[in-house]
Amino acid sequence: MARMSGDIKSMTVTVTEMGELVAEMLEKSVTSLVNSDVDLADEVIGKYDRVAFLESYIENEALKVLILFQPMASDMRFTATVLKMITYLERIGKYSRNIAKAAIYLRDRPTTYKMIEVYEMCDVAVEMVKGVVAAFESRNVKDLERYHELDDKLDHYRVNVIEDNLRHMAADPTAIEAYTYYISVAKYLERVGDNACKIAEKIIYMVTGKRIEIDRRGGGL
Amino acid sequence: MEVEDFNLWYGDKQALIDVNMPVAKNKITALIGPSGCGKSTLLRCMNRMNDLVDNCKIEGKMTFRGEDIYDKTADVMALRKRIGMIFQKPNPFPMSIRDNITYGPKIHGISKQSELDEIVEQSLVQAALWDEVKDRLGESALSLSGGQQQRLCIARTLSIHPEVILMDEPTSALDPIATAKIEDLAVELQKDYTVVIVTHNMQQAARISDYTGFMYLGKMVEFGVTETIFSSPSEELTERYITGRFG
Repeated sequence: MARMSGDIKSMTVTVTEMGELVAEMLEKSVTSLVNSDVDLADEVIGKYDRVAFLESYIENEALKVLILFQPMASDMRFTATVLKMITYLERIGKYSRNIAKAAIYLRDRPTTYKMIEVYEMCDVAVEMVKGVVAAFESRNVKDLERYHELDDKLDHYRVNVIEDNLRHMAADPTAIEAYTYYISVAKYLERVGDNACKIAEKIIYMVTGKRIEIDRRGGGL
Repeated sequence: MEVEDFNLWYGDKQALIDVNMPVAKNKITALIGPSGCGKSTLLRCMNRMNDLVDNCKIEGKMTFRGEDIYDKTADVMALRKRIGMIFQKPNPFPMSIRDNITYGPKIHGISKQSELDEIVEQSLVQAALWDEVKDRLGESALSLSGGQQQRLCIARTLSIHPEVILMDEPTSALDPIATAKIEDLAVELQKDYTVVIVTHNMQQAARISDYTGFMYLGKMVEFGVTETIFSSPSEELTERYITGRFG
């Protein structure tokens, strides 16, 4: 089964590339929002094509392994994890792209609102994405066990952002559309956390064979 | 059926070492492992086929419905009627399809034609072969295809109403379509019979069995629920074997 081992190694490399790419997109999308940097936002939007390409490329590779080798045990868990993981990573890429689009929209619609939580939310979300990518590559799942705490943090910040924006909407109804974009950004970051938790669950299964549920309350609003 | 601390020697060579395993009623139990690991030997012990081998010595216990299979007073013929066996290569008798089925029942004293006809139909229906051969029961069994011959052998085993069916690599000589039919049949038979199957085809074990035992060098390395064995085995050796990283 040297051929299957080779395929698994190369899939590890491409999935890691995809994970690092979406983590970079996420970080840059928030920077583009905070700095009203349209060029950086465009760069993030441009990178999404590579994410979509990697998703379908890796999916084909994983299906090829299933068809040719009918993997068992740890190989089966790896292949199943990859198939789920690329879907979650693609979504994270899409959320990053949406945040970049929001950055472009909001640059021309300044408001009095400052989304102070966005830095914290971005740090936590990026940490979670980078963490699952590192765990996938190293097969070390120790750090994934506390993901529910990080996920709770994101939920908490998102609620703050909604409440703040509702107050701003009431005070300045002419800018309601802009405020809904801030709410969306908070929602995207919170969803990144949910997706990172799902990936963490899959990686824990891949490494230990045990199925656990990190986010027991579902995805929130 | 229960296997407890079972050991077997062929002359000086020990082929089974302290084997323990349960065989659950109306379930399919698969035995997997590399060639020479003892899985066929273990299977053959279950209806005392190894009695026919010279210099074969056993220790330990094998019980069926609470009775010791190897008890000195056990009736081996009666045991083999209750625990039938299907071999790797289909081995129909060189006689008609009908006579293959009636052979066993006749030996066991059934002679009434209508009763024998009923057994022929019932056994062939159960072995999913009836529709293919009902109009040619008088033809030689050797005129059937390999897959049909194997199902005929299963029908022949069913004709004497066993309780357990032992299958020793029953599909290794068959093409994928015939293999699928035998696999479907094994799953179907499980409703009325207990099945123990030795197979080299791990996907087959994963597809059809409820429990799987992995054997290596005469030992039962791991025994458990099939889904667990193939998704998250507890033993490193099992993991290495089923992922093809052996040796």
